[in-house]
Amino acid sequence: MRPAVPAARGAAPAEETRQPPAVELRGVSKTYLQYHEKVDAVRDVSLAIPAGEFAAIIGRSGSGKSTLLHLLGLLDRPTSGDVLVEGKPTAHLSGAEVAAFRGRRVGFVFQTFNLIARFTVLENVVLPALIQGTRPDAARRRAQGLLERVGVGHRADHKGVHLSGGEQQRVAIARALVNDPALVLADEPTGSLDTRSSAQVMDLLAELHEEGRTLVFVTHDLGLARRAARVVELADGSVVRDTREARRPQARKPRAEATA
Amino acid sequence: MSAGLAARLAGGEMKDHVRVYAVVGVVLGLTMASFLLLTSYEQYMLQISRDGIAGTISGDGLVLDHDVTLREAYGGAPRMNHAPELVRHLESTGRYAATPRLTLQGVVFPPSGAPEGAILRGIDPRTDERVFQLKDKVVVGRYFQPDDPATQDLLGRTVAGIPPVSAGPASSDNVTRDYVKAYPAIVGRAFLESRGLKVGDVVRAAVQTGGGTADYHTIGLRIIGAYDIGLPVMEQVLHFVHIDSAREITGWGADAATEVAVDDLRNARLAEPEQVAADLKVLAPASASYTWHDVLVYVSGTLMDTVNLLLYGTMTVTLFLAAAAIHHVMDGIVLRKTREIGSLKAFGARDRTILQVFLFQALAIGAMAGALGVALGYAVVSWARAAGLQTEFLAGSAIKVDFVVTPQALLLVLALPIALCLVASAPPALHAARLPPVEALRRGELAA
Repeated sequence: MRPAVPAARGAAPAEETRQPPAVELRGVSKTYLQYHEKVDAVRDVSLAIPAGEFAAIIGRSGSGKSTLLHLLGLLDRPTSGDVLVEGKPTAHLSGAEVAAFRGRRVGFVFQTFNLIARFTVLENVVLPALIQGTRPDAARRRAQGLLERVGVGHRADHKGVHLSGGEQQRVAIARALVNDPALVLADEPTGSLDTRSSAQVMDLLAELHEEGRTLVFVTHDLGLARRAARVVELADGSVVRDTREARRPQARKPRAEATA
Repeated sequence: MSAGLAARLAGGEMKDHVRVYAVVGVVLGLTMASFLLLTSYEQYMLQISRDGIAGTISGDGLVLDHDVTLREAYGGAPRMNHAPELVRHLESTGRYAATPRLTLQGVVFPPSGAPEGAILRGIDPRTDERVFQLKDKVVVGRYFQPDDPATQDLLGRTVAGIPPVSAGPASSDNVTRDYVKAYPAIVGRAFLESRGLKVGDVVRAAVQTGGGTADYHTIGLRIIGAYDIGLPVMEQVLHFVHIDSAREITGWGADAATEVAVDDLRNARLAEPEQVAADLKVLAPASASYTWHDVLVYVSGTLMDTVNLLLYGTMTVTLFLAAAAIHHVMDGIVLRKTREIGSLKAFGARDRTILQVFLFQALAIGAMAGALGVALGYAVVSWARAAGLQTEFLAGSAIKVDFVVTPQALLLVLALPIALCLVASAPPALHAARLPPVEALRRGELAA
């Protein structure tokens, strides 16, 4: 028997606006083959992330948090079930279409920053824009602006590896924003940071949400999770709790791009 | 994402691995330079051989006694039996023109410069015109005339009848028989000009007459003319005398010959070698027959022996090793850059783009290796020409070492390393391109 999932408290933004969820999992399972043994990372999960949501996914190590996040961002394909983006199924999408979705609509932030060591900070931020075909000069201007915004503009010409962990993660956030995505997915964004840097990064993510972006992050830190409006708890690949605190700030207005 | 960005990413990767790429590129470049030199030298030799034949030095075929090798057709062949009968027989078919020849090898001693190996070919001017058209190639002086004093000065004596003035091994200064008489000769124009000679001059020569043994006569060659076939290397070596002169020098008698040369009258230029070979096998079953193609292969083979095969083999092995190295390097890069590949895919890079990143690197290494090969190859060619390198040719003569660099060879030297690098890089590049993004990120984190 699957544990009962408590109903989320508070009204979902999607219901308020009657828009399809920014991204939705419908009966999604993901099974890996590990050393010739099947491992169910995610089991029959149905989860809707409305546009403008600020959600945290929590759970113990191995509970399937990261896999769930990857499925939401189409970084991974489900073994069964479907992922819907703005109400549209994605199972039939080609690799190129999925890549285009990832590049234009999603910004990823990784725990270990994943900055390319041989590139400067500015080049790292510019890269996703260039991948999407943005003109280099426009991409550089936008990237520089984002670096100023996250407080590392003065380090633009430095190599990423010469920055502190907190600075690297802020660069990674700038990089996630360079294509102006409606959905930002962060996998343990503070997992490699000290407390002070963690707070700065969470402030930045909260800002992104406040300006209307849909933001989902994975964490095992309950304190950080409480900053989100919604907390989805996973255990053994299943959602065991899904709570939404109405008193927590919601996005002022979901970004138009999220529902386009 | 544009191919330009993939190229930039590839460039960044190459900077990260500049040393290993440099080593692979240099190895490939050196191999390709060797390949260029070898093929160009081979081309040069083939051209010499082909021009030699097209320049009427040979005909469509040669018939020698049954156990005589083609090597001996360039001097040292024993007396051929039944040459007149064979000529008549071949001519009677109406398909072939035939002429006897008596070829000797020796050394010429020009008034200036070092002695040089020579082929002295005795031809019958009356019948040779139908086979070789040497007459048309004489550009200085004149061709043989029926009343040339080829034998008149001999007064009934033969060289063989003259007792030796000294005994001992053959050399330019110590010959087994000495008979100084100037035989009318048509020499190569290149020989004439390089030695500062003119028509009417007499050049001393030592000619081997013992069918391959060390039995030499010193003779004189009175230059009556010079031929030009546009092939200086042959013009330096090959000289013509009247066949009666050659017969007198050898003392073999009036009908003596070492070979019968034929020309297929059905073809204006070089005949189909298979057809000629088949005909001669029927027409002269007891003889050894060779086609112009055999001559080509022989002359080429004289200069480019089986060592070439070994060189080509070594180069092939080197290329395979370089390919294996590139494959290994790319594999390593894909392994080390797995997380980066995952990140790029997370940012929207397509599989095709990842493929391009790696293939551009392969393309760049291959292109650099090809360019290096061409540059080094040309450098060696220039050096060899400037240094005036020479190598031993027929009858102890020397020819300069030169190269004919064909557009095909250049194209191959440029394209082969690129193709090789692309093929060697394709498996790791495809592996990288097909890596699922999550898998790449996960593996990358494990590797980190």
